[in-house]
Amino acid sequence: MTENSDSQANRLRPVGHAMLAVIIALVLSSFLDARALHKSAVNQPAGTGRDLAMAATGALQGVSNFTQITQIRQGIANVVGLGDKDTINTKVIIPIKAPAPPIVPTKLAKPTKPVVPVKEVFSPQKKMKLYFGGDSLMGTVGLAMEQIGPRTGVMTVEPADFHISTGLNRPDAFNWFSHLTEMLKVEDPDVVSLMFGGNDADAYMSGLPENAKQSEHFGDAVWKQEYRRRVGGMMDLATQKPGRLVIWMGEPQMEESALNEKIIKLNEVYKSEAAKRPGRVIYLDLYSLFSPNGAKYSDTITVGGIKKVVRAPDGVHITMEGGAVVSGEVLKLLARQYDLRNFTPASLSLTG
Amino acid sequence: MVRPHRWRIFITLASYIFYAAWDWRFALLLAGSTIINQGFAVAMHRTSDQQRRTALLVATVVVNLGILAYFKYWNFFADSGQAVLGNLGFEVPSLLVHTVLPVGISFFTFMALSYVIDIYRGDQKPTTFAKFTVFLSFFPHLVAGPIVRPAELVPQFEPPPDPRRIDTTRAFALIAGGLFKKVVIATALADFVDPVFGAPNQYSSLVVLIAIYAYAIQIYADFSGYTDMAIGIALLLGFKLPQNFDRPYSSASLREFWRRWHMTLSRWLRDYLYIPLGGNRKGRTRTYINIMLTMLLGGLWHGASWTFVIWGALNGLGLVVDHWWVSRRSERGGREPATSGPRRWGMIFLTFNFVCLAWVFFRQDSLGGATNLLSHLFTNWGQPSPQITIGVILAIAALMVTQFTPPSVGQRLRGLFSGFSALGQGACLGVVLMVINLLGPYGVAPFIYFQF
Repeated sequence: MTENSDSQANRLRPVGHAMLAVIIALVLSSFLDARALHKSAVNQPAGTGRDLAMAATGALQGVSNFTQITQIRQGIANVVGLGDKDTINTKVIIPIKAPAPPIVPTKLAKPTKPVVPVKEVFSPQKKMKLYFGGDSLMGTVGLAMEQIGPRTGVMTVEPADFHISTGLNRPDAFNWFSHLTEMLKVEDPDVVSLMFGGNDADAYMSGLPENAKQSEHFGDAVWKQEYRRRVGGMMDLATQKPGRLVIWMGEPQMEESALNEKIIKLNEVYKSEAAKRPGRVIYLDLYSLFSPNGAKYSDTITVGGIKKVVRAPDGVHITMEGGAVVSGEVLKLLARQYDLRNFTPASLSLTG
Repeated sequence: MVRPHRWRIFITLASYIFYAAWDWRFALLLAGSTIINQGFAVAMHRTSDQQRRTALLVATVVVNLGILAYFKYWNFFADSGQAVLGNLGFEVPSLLVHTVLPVGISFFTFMALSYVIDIYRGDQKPTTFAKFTVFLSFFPHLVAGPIVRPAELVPQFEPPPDPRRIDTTRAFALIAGGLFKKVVIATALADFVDPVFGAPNQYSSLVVLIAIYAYAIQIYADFSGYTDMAIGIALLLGFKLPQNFDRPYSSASLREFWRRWHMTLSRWLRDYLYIPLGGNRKGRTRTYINIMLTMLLGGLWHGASWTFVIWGALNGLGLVVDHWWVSRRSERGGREPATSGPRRWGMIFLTFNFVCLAWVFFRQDSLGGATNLLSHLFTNWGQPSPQITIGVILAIAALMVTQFTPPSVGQRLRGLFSGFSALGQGACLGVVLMVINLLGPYGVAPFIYFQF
């Protein structure tokens, strides 16, 4: 059957018919999708656009709820297992009480010698399980680690759990607090590596505690207090299980100076919150790694005499090669922290 | 009725605004390409001196391919050259440049080339500058095709389409179907495929195998979904663009596959590369060489990477074997290729699996990545495969079913839809949009073919 015969079989209509059909389709689907549209509006960056979108979709949702038309979508969603898709979850669930500091097992080598902490052993028989989660910057790091980690023979790496345009500011857009809780339950990793910040360089936060004030400017005292609470909360959440280690990756330098100034403030929070949790959280300084000795932004670094392109052309993201460099640092850190049998970072080629 | 010149100004402005939304500098590049190619075309038409015409053609090809090469291939050749010289002991400074590839540059460059080459061949006369501008920048095909020939689109500008006679049924079917393929099928499969292709050693061999099939469906749903929407939108404006896919995974040979997959690129390569190289007119060996060259360059067209070269080489090799097999059978008086029955199903299975194998090289960033993935097809059987969900199987099955559904089924459904009033059609489309919105994710990845 040819296209022409198809076209001949169809009734040709005036353009007004097409426009009317499109308008009806859009209006009807707007009411059917009212809850989803409202969620999209809520997820927008703070500002007039979001306020207008929320007002419009709020009204749409009101009509849709009143006429029960929204139930059609919800009914289908329930049948296909997507019943929660349109729910807006802004709950910032973090532990009220921080876990107790780890008790490091020790042994007395000889009565006269100092106490030696016993490192936890991981081997081909008892492999370490690693989880990498965060925003888009974590993407290439997690993917590189997925490839490199298993080659050590002593670790398995869960698929990189990165979600583009997410962070800790906006649980309405993506609720990392709920998501991490769920992932830890499912994956139960020994080491959790997290990286956020690229999408948190903004004063607006959703999911604030009741009666809490919204910060007026990024970096002000109100912002700092709430952001610290969230970062520390994520660290405590991940280390609820005794013995689990968190590697919190700081943000690398950004090419755009205005964004970079904010990144420096974010990194201060991550570093100081990690320092409050010795033995449970280690801060990995990617800023210094990619800009050694306070160097200006560059998309390349020299590792072992070889120049590597570590940053993407957008001046923000990390390339796969950069991800491999970070993976190398993670492996070095883990080799210091644990007894990884038959493995030393130097024995592994990161590019093979 | 809208006056033609006003319509052309409007659609040109709309197309340029659409294109400049990515980066305004891209619009300058498009305008530059339009001016240069129209200049060459007019100059070529004005002279009857064959030598001068040939010189102008060479200049056109050099300028167009030069611009394309700069944006697409400079880093590839600079990097490869530096590595080769480095291996020979020569220290060469890095010549890498950081350029952003303008969206759709390969598509509009090929369209501009076909315009000037057709004029050189005498198949086409230069059109007016205004019409050529619309032809090259017409937004539905601008960023990812289909690759339209001047003779297919330019005559439709005069007289402009009759706004009282629009094939709304086919347009709506294409747009809704394309949207479903892209938003629901391609995105759902991308979530499954990406981690497996990224780290195959983490998964069982069964998961790797299903991921290879899933990628074949993903790229088809992604690319054909885009072109369906492009053709549908053009139809709503009253213009017919050429078909770009015709159920390619139901092909019983590689030759048939390439007649059904990215059809407008296949015929471009055939008419402007394979036939000028001599096609099948210069003996069997030259035919095979021409096929290999065409497919290798077709692979490189997709990007500057050895994986695309291997992908092109595999397809070229497959086509050579196909040609050799067919000519050998006809020489021996063998049977005609089966059009139905188990033999045809066997050939479809073989062709599909070969195409999937080649896609592995197309998808992976490096040869090492591709061979690593393929090696994991054999090393991890018997492992649990929880990643293969009902959703993944349904997405693959749904698209495969469409490959074997006779076109008459779709036509009957469209015939039914065609009889509905605007209210009826709008209501149907509204429900389809709701289903797509529900099954699709929040936020959809860019089209795969935008990078080419």
